[in-house]
Amino acid sequence: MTTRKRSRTARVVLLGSAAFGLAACQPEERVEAEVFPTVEECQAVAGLGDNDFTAEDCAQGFAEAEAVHRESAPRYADQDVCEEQHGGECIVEQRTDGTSIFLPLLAGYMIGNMLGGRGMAAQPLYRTGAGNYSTPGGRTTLSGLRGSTQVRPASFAANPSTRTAAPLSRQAVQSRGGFGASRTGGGFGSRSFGG
Amino acid sequence: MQRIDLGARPDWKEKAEAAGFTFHHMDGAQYWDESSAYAFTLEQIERDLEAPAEELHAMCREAVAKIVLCEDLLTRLCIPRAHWDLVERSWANADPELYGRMDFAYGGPNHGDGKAKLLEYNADTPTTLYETSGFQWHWLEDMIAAGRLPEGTDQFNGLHEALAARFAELFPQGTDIHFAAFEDAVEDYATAETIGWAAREGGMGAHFTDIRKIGVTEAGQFADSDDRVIGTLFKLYPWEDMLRDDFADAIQEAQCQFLEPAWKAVVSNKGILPVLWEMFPDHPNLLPAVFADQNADALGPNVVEKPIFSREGAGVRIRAEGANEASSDTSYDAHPRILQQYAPLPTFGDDNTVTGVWMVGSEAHGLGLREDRSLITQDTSRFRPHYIEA
Repeated sequence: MTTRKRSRTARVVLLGSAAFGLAACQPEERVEAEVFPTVEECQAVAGLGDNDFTAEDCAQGFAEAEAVHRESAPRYADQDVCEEQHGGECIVEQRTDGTSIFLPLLAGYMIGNMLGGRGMAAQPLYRTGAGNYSTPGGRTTLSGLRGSTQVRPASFAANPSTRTAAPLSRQAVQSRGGFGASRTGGGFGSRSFGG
Repeated sequence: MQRIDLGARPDWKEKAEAAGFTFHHMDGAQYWDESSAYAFTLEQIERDLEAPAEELHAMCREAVAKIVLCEDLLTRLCIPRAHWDLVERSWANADPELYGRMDFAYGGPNHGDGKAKLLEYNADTPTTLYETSGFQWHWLEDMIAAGRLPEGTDQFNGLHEALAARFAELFPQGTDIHFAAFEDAVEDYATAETIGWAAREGGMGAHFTDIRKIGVTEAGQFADSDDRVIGTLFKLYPWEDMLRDDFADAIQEAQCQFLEPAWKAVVSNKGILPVLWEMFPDHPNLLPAVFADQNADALGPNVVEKPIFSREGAGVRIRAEGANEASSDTSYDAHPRILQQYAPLPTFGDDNTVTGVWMVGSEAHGLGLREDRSLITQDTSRFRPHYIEA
């Protein structure tokens, strides 16, 4: 067999065709999810008709969503920012160092089957400033709090803890624009700043 | 190494447009030019370019180990004193490198002593990656499919696969990586996008942010234009500029892994060239070089003057017999300079050709050639494809 010096994959890199996105998964990948405002509403329809989740799934999913909420809920240093981001009520949480931070209320939760037969997963949902509902970190946004929907598998991925800042969590930004001012080269129209 | 007039694909422009390669012409001049292409033998690629590039990369790492501990050299390389620790620590922590491009004067056996001579190592923010790894690759596929190059014709271009594999080696699957560039600089954006594709192929999440929109959170971390905290940042923006920006002081505590790492600030710096020459005198792939204030006798009469931070030929001045030329771009003139022995580029017709070898990690994985009527290669210099004879 001869060795070859070029790439085998003929992956056509199309410029301007979304190399950058919030998730690296393919758009066609979707999993079923059920959305409820409360565990009671979930249990009321469990086992009915086409629903393949049980009352037990409802309870387990809610417990999981609450656990994720405790660990990964959006946390804000400022009540106004929290209320603006979540369209209303936020609750206060005392940190061990005595400072107060603010969390949105748990508006509901969703349960769904993860890909690859790894069982049921759950995520808490929060109201957004725009009147929708989203999972922690804004990975997935839903328009309502009831019914079946299809979401990306990443919607059920683990969330970064907001107790300590972590990549892709949203954090209050103090200042911007501190990079980019010192460049020496480039700067004319389409000219490159690299080399 | 020969330049062969193969003729362009009749539909290359449509193909470029369809691929989003909109900058095939720049400033009214043609930038991508496939009317002819460079032909190499496999031996020229492997013996003359690939092996020396990998050896030079290892030598650069030896030079970094020395420079980051030497205050005199850090001063000469204009690394701001406040950030010596950052640079040193990134080296001591073995922060991994992703990519780079070495530019050589090389023309095959009939040019000079036949050895590729390192002109500079853009180890921090090299561009032209899309042209090299993508459009050039498809050019060859098309030429073989059309029967205009024989089956078995190859190309030194494993870049896309190598980059994807490098990401998978460096980061856990699903790691979120931010890619920062100046959004309105099309070439830079194309390079960042090309690497973003490779990162996704390697299983990573890729997110773009304009460099100027990066923020600092209350916890002192960097955040993108949507306030999302940045854990890993590929930045198409040179370290020498970053270290002089307002946010420079935030880098140390930002818990952010950078690509390239901070120690690349001393590799892409042309001040490494005199250091390399001192450490490895008479190495066949190095040109004699000194700092401008040092004794230049060893260089002989034909000398090139280069600002330590220059890119795209800016600020370069050639003072050589029959070859006097100075870059009209003086934006780097305030910086200290090095002197390097002049190595003429090979000429093909009226053109002078520079040979760029791409590194991924410590391995050489690709080749891109630029040519210009000027002796100094600039950002508008034409890009031509190459192939390895079957």
